[in-house]
Amino acid sequence: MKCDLHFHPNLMTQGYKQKTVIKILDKCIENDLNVIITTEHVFKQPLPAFKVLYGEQQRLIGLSQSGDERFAKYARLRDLHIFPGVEYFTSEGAEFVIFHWDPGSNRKKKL
Amino acid sequence: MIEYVTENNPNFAKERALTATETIDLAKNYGLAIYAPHPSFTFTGAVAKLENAVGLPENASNLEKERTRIAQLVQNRGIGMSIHNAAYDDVLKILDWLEVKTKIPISRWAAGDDSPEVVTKLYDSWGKLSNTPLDLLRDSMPEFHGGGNDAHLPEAMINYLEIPIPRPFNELSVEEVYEIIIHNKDAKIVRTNKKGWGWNAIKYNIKTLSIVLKEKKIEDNAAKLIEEEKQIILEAYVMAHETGCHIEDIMKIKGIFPGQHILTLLSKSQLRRIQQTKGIGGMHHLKKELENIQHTLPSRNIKIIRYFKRMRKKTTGKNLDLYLPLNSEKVDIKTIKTNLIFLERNLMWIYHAQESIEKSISTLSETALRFKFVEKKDKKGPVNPELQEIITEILDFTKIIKRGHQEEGGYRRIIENIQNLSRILSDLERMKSFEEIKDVLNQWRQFAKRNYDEEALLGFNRFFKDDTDRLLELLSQKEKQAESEE
Repeated sequence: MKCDLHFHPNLMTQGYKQKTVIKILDKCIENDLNVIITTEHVFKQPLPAFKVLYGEQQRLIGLSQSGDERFAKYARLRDLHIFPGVEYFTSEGAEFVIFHWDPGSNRKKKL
Repeated sequence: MIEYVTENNPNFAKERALTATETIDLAKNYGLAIYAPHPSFTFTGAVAKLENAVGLPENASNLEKERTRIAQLVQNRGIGMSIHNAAYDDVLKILDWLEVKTKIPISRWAAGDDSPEVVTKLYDSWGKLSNTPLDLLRDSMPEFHGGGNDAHLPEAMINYLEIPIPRPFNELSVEEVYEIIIHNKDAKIVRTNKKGWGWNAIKYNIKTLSIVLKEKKIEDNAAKLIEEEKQIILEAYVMAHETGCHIEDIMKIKGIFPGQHILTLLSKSQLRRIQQTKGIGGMHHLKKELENIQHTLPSRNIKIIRYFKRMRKKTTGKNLDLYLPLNSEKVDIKTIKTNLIFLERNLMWIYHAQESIEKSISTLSETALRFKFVEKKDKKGPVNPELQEIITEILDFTKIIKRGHQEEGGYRRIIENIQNLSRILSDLERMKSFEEIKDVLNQWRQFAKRNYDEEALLGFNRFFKDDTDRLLELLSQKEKQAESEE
């Protein structure tokens, strides 16, 4: 299983281009990756960045099933899991990556 | 959790940064996976920041205690670390000092902001390392192995982790994949391109420098932005004259108007001609003069402009530290700080004069917050508790303003309150004693009487007077308390 647990989509700071999103997914296919975690910085809208990437992945998977040869290669994306995550700087300057497979995980759990 | 971190909880991202322990506990309470990636070296002084995180060996008073604490934290929590080439040796020294160098996973990535020279040079030395990243990974005992490219561009995705799985990937559910990742201890670092060990590696690594090049482009945009800001500042200056204020009165209200800053930039003849415009008339003449002095307005230092741009776009109380590194050698922090406050003051004036009230309020709140943190950073040693308390009062007061906005006829009152609040912020900057604060508070009232009609003043008083009284009362209590203690 090939994973990249620290990756910045860099999508939401100045708007995003669909081309960039597809390029990221193309690169995942090219590198035969199975898991990537979108670890955008806290102040760079990590959740929307994840949603954009995840949404595009689902769209391309759908297209790959349409029978159109142009999108046939995106069937590989079914073997790619994208997990939401954030990169966070603590007050001491130490840096952490926090992630989970489910964006809504334990949302209601109290601290 | 992600929503909690980014949107719903100001404590996490805006008000203050959590400590490492708090962050780990928070993530664990939510049932989330957490690991420490390489320290970021995008910002100057990041190495120093890491040193601060563990306590500087030569300065820390409780050296041994601090060292043990951090070492235990790193070791017990199973924190791994991957390190940028540029700081590899420095970070290793710190880890060595913590005595955890051989106990945690350390990997070495050439990505991010390494310069071409450094990448090339380190690439040459890479092969000479006795301990490869794989050895370190194998020997370590972390909770799990994490890591990645930290790529900001698709082209920079040149490494990945290879994690063994018990059965074919397509038979695994998402949850199972997640479980495998957070319990794996056999991750191996693999490069995607076999040719990547040669020139291609350098090429890819250098390609990641497009981040830096991108920032260079932003600098140019920032320069334009600053120019626009200057124009607006000048407009604000002209507008202040339109109210018919005497030039000396304008100079007194530095909080909402940077009269002194601009005037100090004027030539003698320009100053004399501006002074002639006091009262009525002379506006056209004044405007022309101000356009002439445009080029003398704040620093053209490209670095400062870039910092402005960054701070204005994404600075919160938390990450202000990142953009104002105290240990930076190259950046003149004092200038940046002064310019930041200067710029923000102008923005306040601009927004409450020209833009929506919501924007004014948010700007003011943000400014107060920034000021609070600038103030914090500026203090050597513990922050003055009284000062902190007053700043907290001001922050609370912004909430009162927000409430006032929803009431009938609240707009004008809010504008006035914002003006006064911005002056509070300004005066706090220079404040040294309670007497001075009292004086400032009294000045606000006098100013309001002089410049606003009675109806506005009544509205103003209803919301603001009570609070100023409360502030004064608080101050007198503090004074009495201080006297009795003496």
